[in-house]
Amino acid sequence: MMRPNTLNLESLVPRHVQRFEPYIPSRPEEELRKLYRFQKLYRLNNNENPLGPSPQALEAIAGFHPASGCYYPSGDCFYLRQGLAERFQLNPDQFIVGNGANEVIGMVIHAFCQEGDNIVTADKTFAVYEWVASFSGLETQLVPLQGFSYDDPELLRRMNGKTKIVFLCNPNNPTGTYWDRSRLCRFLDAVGIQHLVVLDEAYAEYVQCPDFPDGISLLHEYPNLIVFRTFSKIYGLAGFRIGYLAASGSLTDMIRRTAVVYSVNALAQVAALAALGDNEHIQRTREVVQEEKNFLVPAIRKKGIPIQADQGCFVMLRMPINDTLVYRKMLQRGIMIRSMTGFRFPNWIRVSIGQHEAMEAFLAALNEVLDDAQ
Amino acid sequence: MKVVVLPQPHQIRLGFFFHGEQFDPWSFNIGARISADDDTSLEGLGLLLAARSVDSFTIRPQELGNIEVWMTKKRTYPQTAPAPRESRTFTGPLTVGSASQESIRMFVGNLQAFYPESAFPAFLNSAGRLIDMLSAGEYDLCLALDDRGQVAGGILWNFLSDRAVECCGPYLFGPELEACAQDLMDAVINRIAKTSAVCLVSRWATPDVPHGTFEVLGKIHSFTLAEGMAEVPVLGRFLKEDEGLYVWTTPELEKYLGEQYGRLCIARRLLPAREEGERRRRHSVIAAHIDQQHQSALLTLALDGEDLESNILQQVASLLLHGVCVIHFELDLASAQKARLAPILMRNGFEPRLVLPHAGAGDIVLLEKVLHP
Repeated sequence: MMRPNTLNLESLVPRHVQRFEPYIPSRPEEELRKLYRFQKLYRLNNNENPLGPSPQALEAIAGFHPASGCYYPSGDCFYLRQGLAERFQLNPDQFIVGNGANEVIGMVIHAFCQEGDNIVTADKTFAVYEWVASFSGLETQLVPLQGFSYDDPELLRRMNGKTKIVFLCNPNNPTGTYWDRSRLCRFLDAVGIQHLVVLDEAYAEYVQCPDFPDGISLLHEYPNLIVFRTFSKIYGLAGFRIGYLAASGSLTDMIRRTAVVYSVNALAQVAALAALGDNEHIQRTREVVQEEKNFLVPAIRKKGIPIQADQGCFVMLRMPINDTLVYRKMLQRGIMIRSMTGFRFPNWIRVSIGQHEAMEAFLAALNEVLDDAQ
Repeated sequence: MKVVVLPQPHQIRLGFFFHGEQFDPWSFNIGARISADDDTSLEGLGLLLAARSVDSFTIRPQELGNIEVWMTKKRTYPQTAPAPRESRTFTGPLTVGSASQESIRMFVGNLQAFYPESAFPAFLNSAGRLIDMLSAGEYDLCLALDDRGQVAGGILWNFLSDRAVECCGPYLFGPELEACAQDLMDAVINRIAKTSAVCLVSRWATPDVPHGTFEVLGKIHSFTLAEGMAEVPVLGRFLKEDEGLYVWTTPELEKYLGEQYGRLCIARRLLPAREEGERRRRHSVIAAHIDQQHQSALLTLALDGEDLESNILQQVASLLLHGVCVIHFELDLASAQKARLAPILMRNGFEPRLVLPHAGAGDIVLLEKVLHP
């Protein structure tokens, strides 16, 4: 009997997966160097910690016995959840750790949503909520930002009986705007407990404004609230892929059912637990980011370039030329920024705050690119 | 042979799938001639009639000697009358969004009134055709409407390939609509930003394109009876962070490509496309799409063959008889075979005019020959 030589992917693959457009991450530095021929690369595209991992995490990583790599890690990040519970005065069962916060987004959506349900979020925010919903066959209601900020009345208006989860990024990536405590609580009160609210606080540790809400402290008041945090940003462990969520025990009991145990490797768990206690590193990172923002923002304003600089370790600039051209021209000069067309911000770029040398290099390259454009 | 019929509101497409190692598609060429005195050429009569009866065709050789032929016959539509060209006042904030059939009719009427023929593709002469093309999903359209439903502007776009989108416009129907142009442009970019599209190009850009949206990819000639011959810019922008490509080239084309990629900061590695002695078909086929309104033709290589150079000369001569003034030839640089056409075209009067990133399987270089300057 003849064996057919082509797969019928039309019938094998669900339509919502066929329709989904996969995200293509940046190529490794060496490959980019071959294409763009830069000498040195300053990575200002992923909002990584300009100081790197905390010294305590580095020490813990160095102390990790390579031979123990043959053993499975703690399947549910036992000690890290103990550490998180102690820090936030909650029960360890109220935490679920994932292979980066991206994994916990998937866990939450899969735990609560089924065919016909929808999620609601902003149109210009962290893209992964929309991605996971799309390739899971769910509808995403995208609400336009108002003045760079989440639009609470419109978010409420778009919710319907099929809405399971509202995703809020606070402070928002990429605009850096945030809802203060009273605005967030008014929104949570208005949503009611028929829907879940996810509060993604990936950049919360960078915010020092007194009215910024600590989502984890609100878990006692709002049983439908789920808070995401990550070790990729201020803790400087992006390469280890580790993040977590906190929620009421009854919610984590459900979410845990969609969590793949052992997805967080042993080294990441060790590094994260050590980083969690390094308050000095967090403080130093905040100071460096603030100092460099204080250097960068006026320099950009002086050039007459519109800038959106609020909370977080990044700023956005509206360029007089197309952002993807700026990306290529900056990369030729060894500066990697994020072009924002893909975030639905055409002609904007996002720049991560780096150390002073990187900010100087960025400004010098930007001057050249702007001169070229004239 | 398998035959597939795809009826659409504005056209019908016929697909033929067959084993064709011995298939000689020569009479598909627009320059092909049949002589009653030549029995061999009469064998191609059926194909010749078929090729002349349709508006366009593609031939794709498949694995194991299989051939795929697609023929497209378009419906004819009445031309839409221009709307009265009068000064307009738009009331309230303009809303950019999808279009109703009535607003599409207004848009096409306004287009005829406010823009010369050279500013838009021929299919925009008919609201009926546009409505049908939109319903078939071939194009998308965004309109800017005021609070009384008056159409202040519009922009439309379609996918040239999985990775390239082409837009026409923005078209504006009144003064002081710069913000509207920006909103229309942003609407298109935001609609396609999360699709497979990597590049947005425009051969039909208007002077109202917001500054800084695009780079100029190059200039091509365009002809209309009313305006004569003019050079028009072709614009383009990436939508994503381009990660580079390999492209095939020949020594004749290499300098031009190097200059263009350098000017546009597009990272490409150029690979030499050499003749490697592989067996070729006897006859080549060149697909021709003629735009009567602009007296231009767009040629692409459908099938390579030993007679390629003489075939190109025949095509040019034949197009001249059809009254064509400007011929464009697209070469997809993802194919070494197609890149190898460059020197043949260049020694026969074609000049490279621009590179369209990702417009085919890879980048497309567009070569041009002007017949009546």
